[in-house]
Amino acid sequence: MSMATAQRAAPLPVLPEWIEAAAAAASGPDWLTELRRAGLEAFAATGFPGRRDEDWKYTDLKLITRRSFATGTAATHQVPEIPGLDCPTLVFVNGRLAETQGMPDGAVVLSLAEAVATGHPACRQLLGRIAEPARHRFAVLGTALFHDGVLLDLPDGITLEAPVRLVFLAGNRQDATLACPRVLVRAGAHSRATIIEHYASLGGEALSLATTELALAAGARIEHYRLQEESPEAFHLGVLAARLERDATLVSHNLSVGARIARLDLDVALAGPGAHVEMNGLYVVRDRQHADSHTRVDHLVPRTSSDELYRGVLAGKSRAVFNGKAIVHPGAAGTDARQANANLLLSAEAEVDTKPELEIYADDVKCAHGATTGQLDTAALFYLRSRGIAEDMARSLLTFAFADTVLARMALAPLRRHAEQLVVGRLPDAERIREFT
Amino acid sequence: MLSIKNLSARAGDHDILKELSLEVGPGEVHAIMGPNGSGKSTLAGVLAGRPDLEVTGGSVSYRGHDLLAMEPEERAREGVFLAFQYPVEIPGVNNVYLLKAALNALRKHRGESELDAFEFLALVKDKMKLMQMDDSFLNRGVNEGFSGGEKKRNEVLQMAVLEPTLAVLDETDSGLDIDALKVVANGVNSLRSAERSMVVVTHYQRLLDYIVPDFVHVLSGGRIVRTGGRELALELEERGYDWLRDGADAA
Repeated sequence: MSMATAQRAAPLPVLPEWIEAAAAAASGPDWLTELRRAGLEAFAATGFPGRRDEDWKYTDLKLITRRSFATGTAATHQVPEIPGLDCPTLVFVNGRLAETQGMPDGAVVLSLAEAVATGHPACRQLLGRIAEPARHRFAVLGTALFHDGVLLDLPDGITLEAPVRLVFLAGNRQDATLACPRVLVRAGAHSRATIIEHYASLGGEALSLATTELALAAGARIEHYRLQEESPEAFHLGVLAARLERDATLVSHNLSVGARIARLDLDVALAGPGAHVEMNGLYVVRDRQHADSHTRVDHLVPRTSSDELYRGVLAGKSRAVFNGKAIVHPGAAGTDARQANANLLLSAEAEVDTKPELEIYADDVKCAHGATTGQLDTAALFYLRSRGIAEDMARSLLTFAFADTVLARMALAPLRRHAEQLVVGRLPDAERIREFT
Repeated sequence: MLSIKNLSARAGDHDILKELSLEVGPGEVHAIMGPNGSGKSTLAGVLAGRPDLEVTGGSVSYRGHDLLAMEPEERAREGVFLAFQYPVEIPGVNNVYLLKAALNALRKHRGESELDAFEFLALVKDKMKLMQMDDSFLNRGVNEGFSGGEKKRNEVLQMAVLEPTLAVLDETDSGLDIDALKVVANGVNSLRSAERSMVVVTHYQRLLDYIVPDFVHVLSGGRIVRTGGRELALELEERGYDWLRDGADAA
């Protein structure tokens, strides 16, 4: 940094009291205390992102920075049911472990607080190391503030037959609450598992700083579902960062229908030849909701591939942001990167900002990307009406079909049905569309 | 059944139909022929209520009702069916669910009970046999990835299930090889009855070898310039359309 810049630099912003309070309540062994302190300092140095931050240009956080959030609040809870899904489940209420159901054998699923306390090596090795600190300031803040979470430690060669479901409930109806759910997954060589992160509300205002880090060793395969159906008063700032070694596969499904402001930074490093990531995302927003999906794939070595399909449905005065970055690093020959983003605007007042970004520094690569924004296809609408389907119904049906193209990629049937119902429930004529699904 | 009087219609800035009149009685099959751009598909589209076409004059009465005052879905429920020249692909909307919803919308409108899944499937499978379609069609998206011939078969399958009172076929023969044409024609012929009228729009005489019309009309410059029996179609095949086009201009 030059002298001139240093002189012009503003003094460090003082952290809001609620962050200081949450940080004071966070504890752990020395290495974690050090990590937390460094994280807090780093966050203090940059502060909350503003409009001048390129990565946050379209997402205004004033609604969050104006408020304060209480940490560690208890609340009575009920686990949202997903019909047909019966699997090991951990339930967190405002960042505290509240309930566990049917844990798998082999102690592969642990409370993160417990794993840290007992010195589980994966914690020190991986926590805060997958989500690049310079890019993910809310992951850094989450590291400073988190109380508990989940460590999923899959030994080499293991296959978890049943999915593991993690339910994160936020809010308590009285205070605006803060929750910092933290998930750490170490998938050993050739291990396989399905993980569900389910974010929902208990009512009232809440801020979730949700950070998940996935480390996939050679040949590992993780199917990851992220369902965010928080209440319209909630704020959700999520980071999902993954690093994939040779021939590892990550399939990521991301459904975002809730929260007043929801942001997910999905960041995948393909670090071994043959690594593959599939990213399926759907955001459905209405009223004054705001959904922001920032995805980034780093193709670091030869012969890696990524396949991304993100779609959005916007009604009312809602707003969405999609930014999809694919970086093909020098020497990453044989990269195959595909990306598609499509948006359906159901109202004249809805707005979407979509930006695919390709950076290619290698030869012999296949890259395809496209972004579209539009209204319903009038030819399809007329076709349905000409078959006796009422116009409103035809509109809902086409809207659902547009969204379902993404959900159809979900392999886990009970979850796909749940996701479809969440989407259908946000459309007019929900009952009639259900007959089609 | 259908009485079209001095119908004028435009698409965007282009006047296409110009005071066209046509009477179709119950059980009659009328073929509408004519060169490209004569207004054949516009006529079919206006009858079905295509929203991008603007009626600028005239009237259309269907079974005593003002057809032009009805929404497209109301027309369908009243028994009007358009077999599209270019059936639309709708990924994500299941072919068989659409058909079931369409049939039940119609039955509900008539005050009949809705068919349950079992009854419906039996009916569809029966009609699919007629159209020589295999079961895989059931679970695909509407026209999704269908070949041109499959799309046309699917149109006639829908028509066979919905059993319209007035069927308008818009160039259902285009893009079909002779075998597919026979299947499609066979499907259409099986629906001929004393209560059902058909308007068959085609560019080529060939279709009329298989679907034999009661009347043949030649459309040129947005109006009907000649009406005759089946022999008119044969004459058109021999002489082309030019002699009529000239006659229309002179008239």
